[in-house]
Amino acid sequence: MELWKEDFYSKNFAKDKRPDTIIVNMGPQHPATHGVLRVLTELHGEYVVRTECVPGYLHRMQEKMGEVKTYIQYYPNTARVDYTHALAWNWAYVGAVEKLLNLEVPEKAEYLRVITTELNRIASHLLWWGVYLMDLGAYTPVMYAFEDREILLDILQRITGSRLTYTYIRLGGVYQDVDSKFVEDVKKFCRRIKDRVEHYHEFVTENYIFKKRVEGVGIIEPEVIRKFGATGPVARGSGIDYDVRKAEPYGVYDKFDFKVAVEDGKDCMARYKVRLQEIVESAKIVEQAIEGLPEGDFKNKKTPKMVKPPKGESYFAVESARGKVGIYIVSDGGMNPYRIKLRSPTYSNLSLLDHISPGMLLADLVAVIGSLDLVIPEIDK
Amino acid sequence: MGVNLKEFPEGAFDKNYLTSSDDIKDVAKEFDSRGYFLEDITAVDFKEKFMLVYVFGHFKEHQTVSVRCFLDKENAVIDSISDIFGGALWKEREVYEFYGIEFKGHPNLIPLLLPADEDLGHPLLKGDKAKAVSEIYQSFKTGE
Repeated sequence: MELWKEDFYSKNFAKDKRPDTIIVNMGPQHPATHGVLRVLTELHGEYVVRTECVPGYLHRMQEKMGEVKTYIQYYPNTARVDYTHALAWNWAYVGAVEKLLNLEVPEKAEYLRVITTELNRIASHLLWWGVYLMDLGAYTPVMYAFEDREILLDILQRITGSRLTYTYIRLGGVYQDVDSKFVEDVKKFCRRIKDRVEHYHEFVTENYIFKKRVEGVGIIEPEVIRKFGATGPVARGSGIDYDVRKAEPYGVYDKFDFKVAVEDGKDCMARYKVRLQEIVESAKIVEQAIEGLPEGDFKNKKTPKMVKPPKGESYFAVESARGKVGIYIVSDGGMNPYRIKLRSPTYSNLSLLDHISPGMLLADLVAVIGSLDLVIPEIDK
Repeated sequence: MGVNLKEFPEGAFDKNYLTSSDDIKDVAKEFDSRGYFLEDITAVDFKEKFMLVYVFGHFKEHQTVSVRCFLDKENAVIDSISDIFGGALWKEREVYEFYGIEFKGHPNLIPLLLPADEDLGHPLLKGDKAKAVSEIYQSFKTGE
């Protein structure tokens, strides 16, 4: 028996197959899909005729869980949505609930949120950088990336208590105050990472083989970005100057001087350059925030122990390493949200793949999927 | 604007509008022509109706706008806007599988996140626990 004939998605995809093509099923277990993403591809020789992404293998019913758990019980889940940039999701959720509660956040907490979230963004981009190059066949860079990332995770672990799925940003502030060792470590790291990014550029960006793999590959026109609602480095790689931190500032981001990294190349190389540039910009933000770190409380003392917001709705958007994260909560005045909707950036970013893939080489498809910086749990929710 | 849009006073977004479910395609066309991107489509289950929320963002004007419409439960069908915004292809499929709302004109309305070959029902339907719209939105109580 041919198993694929039993599968709904294969059958549905094969309906429109041309007689001169073959269908190759990539994933859900495939090293280049970073998790369990399945991509059905119809190939004519080495060229892609069309693709269909089949997400959902990691579906954990995040939104349903939100409706049956209380506000506090649900909170740690947000770190598991995008595990490489957990603090951004922490912040989006906490921000939305704070808006409902009309809860103020002390200035020091806002600064600490910025510092930790930006450090987490650097860690996320470093992970992407190493793993993307591994997708393209270069094994060494991931060692360099992880060397830097380890330092960063150690710094964050001391203060947040975890290395990956953080729950540092809490309602009304943050989990705990920082000490002078943290400040010193972060300063040292920021100096280091700027040099390292230069080194990365010399080491990889100028590499001939790398350039051949990414330059002119996976062109995404700005119009396609807009139609599919893509955001983050994917949009900025196509010349769209849009960053929630600048466009709709939240927290204290309006106090810092930083550039939004934008590249006009529209290809994988442009998205690569945007992310490396963002590492440097994040380091600049962290340095300024450490410099201006105010005295005071790290948590609002009036934060309620039992969260029971009034009726109404709230929406809070932040910029994660992948784009615009939005959390929309409808409250009926009860202990748990009446409806919670997670707007995840990679979900929109990946949805354009089926649109741009026709005509691509299969090997380029891997390069393009990697350049979108997918985190599958965020897509599958 | 030349399309049917009414201010919705209790929305959480920068601007909030209410429209009728028959006009959703015209509204999408209007937002498309003004350069908005489709950020999200979602639904909320109430006792008497579904509330569909379309969220639009703008790369230059820097605002997030919601457009919502109410849909009867007996005949939960609305026009698909996937021919205007490609991003709606996945977002409408998600609403379809979670709520059973049908999008007329969608080219490939099959489950996205849930297994397609098992009948799991529509998990986000509230059933008996659904509340009336007026219990959450005050303006519906006063009939504004």
